[in-house]
Amino acid sequence: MRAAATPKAPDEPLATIARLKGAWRLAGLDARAGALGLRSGMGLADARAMHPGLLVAEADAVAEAALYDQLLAWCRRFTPLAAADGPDGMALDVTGVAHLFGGEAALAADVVARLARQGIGARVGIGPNPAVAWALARFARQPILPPAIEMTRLPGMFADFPVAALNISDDLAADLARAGLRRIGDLSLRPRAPLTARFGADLLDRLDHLFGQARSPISPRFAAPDFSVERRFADGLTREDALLTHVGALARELCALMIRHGQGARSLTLTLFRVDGAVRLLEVAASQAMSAPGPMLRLVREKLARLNEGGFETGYGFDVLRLEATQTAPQKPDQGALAGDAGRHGAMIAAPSPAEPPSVSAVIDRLSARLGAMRVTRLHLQDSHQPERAARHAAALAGAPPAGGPRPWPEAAWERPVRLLARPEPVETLALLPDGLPQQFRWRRVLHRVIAADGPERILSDWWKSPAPGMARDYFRAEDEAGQRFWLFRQQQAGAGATWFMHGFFP
Amino acid sequence: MEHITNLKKNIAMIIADKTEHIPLLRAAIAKIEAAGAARGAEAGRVALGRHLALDRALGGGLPRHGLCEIVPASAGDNAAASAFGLALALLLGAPGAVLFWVYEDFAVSEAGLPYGPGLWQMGFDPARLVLVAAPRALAALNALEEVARAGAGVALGEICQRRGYDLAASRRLKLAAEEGGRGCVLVLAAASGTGPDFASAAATRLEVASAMSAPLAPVHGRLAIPGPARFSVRVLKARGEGACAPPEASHIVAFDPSLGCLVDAFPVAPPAHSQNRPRGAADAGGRYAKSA
Repeated sequence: MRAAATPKAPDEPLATIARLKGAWRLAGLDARAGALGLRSGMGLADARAMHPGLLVAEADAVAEAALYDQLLAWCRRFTPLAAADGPDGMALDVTGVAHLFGGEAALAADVVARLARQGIGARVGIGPNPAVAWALARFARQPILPPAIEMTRLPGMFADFPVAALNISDDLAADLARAGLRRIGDLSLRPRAPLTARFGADLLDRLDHLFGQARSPISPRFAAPDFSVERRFADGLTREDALLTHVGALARELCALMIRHGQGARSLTLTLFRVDGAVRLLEVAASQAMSAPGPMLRLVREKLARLNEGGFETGYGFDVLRLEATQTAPQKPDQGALAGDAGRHGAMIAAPSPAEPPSVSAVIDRLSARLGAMRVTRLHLQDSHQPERAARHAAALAGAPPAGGPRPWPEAAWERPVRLLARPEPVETLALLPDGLPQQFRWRRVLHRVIAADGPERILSDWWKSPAPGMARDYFRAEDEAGQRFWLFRQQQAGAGATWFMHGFFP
Repeated sequence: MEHITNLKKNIAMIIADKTEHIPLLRAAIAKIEAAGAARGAEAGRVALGRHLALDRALGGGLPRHGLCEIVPASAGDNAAASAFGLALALLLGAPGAVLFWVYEDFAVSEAGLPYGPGLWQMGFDPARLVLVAAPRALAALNALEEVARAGAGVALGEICQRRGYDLAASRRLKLAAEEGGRGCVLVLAAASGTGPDFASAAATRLEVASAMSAPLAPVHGRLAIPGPARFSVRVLKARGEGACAPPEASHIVAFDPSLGCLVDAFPVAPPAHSQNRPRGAADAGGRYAKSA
């Protein structure tokens, strides 16, 4: 796959260059430059000498990676199993998928045509295993093998392919060429032991992969969802209400599918494929498994509203909508109606009473979808004497903290503040009392006169956890004239005496 | 809808004759208000403590379903105001109910995050708390309305910008709280010192400052040790039957974690009779004094 560096292709051949071992070398080439006989890895000076009209641009690795990721996400419109494959290729597992697109040839043509519309030239190979597809895409004139090909015919078919079709390194290919081994047929007809001894086991492994004698799995970038439903449209959907209508229909379909399997969705992904190739992912999560379309749609609407604030471009519209349940949990079918009937007839069905009403989790889900999962949190008490580590904020979607957690503090004592500053703020002390406490201190430009204080409470840092030994802190509770109560601490600085910090507030 | 068309008719009539129809207009508004007021009256009031002077000033306690605003008396009283708001939310909620604390990001940088161990020591189980951080005041108010309307738990809000909080916003919050059936407490952190100056639909507004604790006496020239927290509370607004006109007096109260309610820091009158001594003990004491 070769990417065009600019959307509007100039008439001159174009190449991207990168600095490699102190010299500018060609990194990527467009089709025109490739036709001129330029190769990637060639020095820029040599290329300029051959073709003075060559346009060059510096390679932007970050932008290329972003484009690659976007393309990989886009590839999921054809199959859920899409994997990265080298810097210039992608492997799609299209087993059982091709008939949806009218056969493998039509699928390949669709991929090429859609990528061409995005300004990307591509070659597609389809074969019985990833190694064959890789070789076909790069070296074959007839890149699609019939689906029902016999494995025994493969060695004959690939006999005339160059050894580079084995996806081996350039150095190994050069070594093989030096030994006079240029074609795959030269390797497959030779005894294996001497080849392994001279060129390593990797070469023959690759040969086995190609001939289907060993399995070569791909590792998809996105895990295959447990349940997935999708809709395709001839034209892009641009209006939000139309989008939501179809998402609602998808949610109903998904729920019917999941209820049949006795599952509910903990997290959903809505993938929106835009006509021009951009892909938007909307991920929503719920604290309890959902198997009704109403709450799903409500969460998606929250998320969409949030995207709209940040500029959600519909462009030419979305032509594929896919709703996937990425995380599921077993769920008993809702028997609310049945229980209601039974109640009318005087029978009582004892439902297990949840610790919290369902409206709590519904509100948590909605707010998490709207504001972000880490903005709706619960406090988990930790067994640590470090003030900062004594409580942890964890996403409320993950559920309530376990009952019976650590309770290291005595009740009904006023030793810890109710509010803690995220980061202690320095305090300017004015007059120190014999105990070491300041008589007055200035914090945020306001002067406070201490009239009552308690301390010090020495808290050592967890030196066995942090690599750099922290300082001991002496904490004081101090009350000023106005009755405001503060949690201050003193820290000995190496060579600079003690410095004071504000850390929290008592009511 | 019917009320609104009536109201429109009345407004047209008022333009014709201003003085005659003001009672009519009042009646129309009273009719609109009636529904919410009836619901509020049904729910009754929650006493904040036993024999508390503050309860008497509020007319028997805090309305169970209303919106209560808390304004810090000065910028330094934010911690006291939010802790007092937490205490009110505790009293409004059923035992074990979930509490949603919705705050603006700025409130955190100003006054710090709610801290679990401190809340635990104040008598509140942090496991019941759900914290919601909103990027702006309007987002916080929106989230607060959502929480109050769902009735999932007591809603406690803390906002720093008062700009978005007007009559419309406060009325939405009030209606949401009435619909949800749980209380809603809003701490207006930025409105310190401007307590009486702005209008809103809330039924109650309290101004809270931290009051001096009763420090333990100094020993050997050392500083005194601060005692338990006390709040100085002024009732700026109290709607409803039985609420007294807001007196200027401030009430010094403390939150007692063991009782789970507020207590007067300085009880005004000694208890007339105690459960721990027999009824006639006062008379007996008198006789004893006479015979001495």
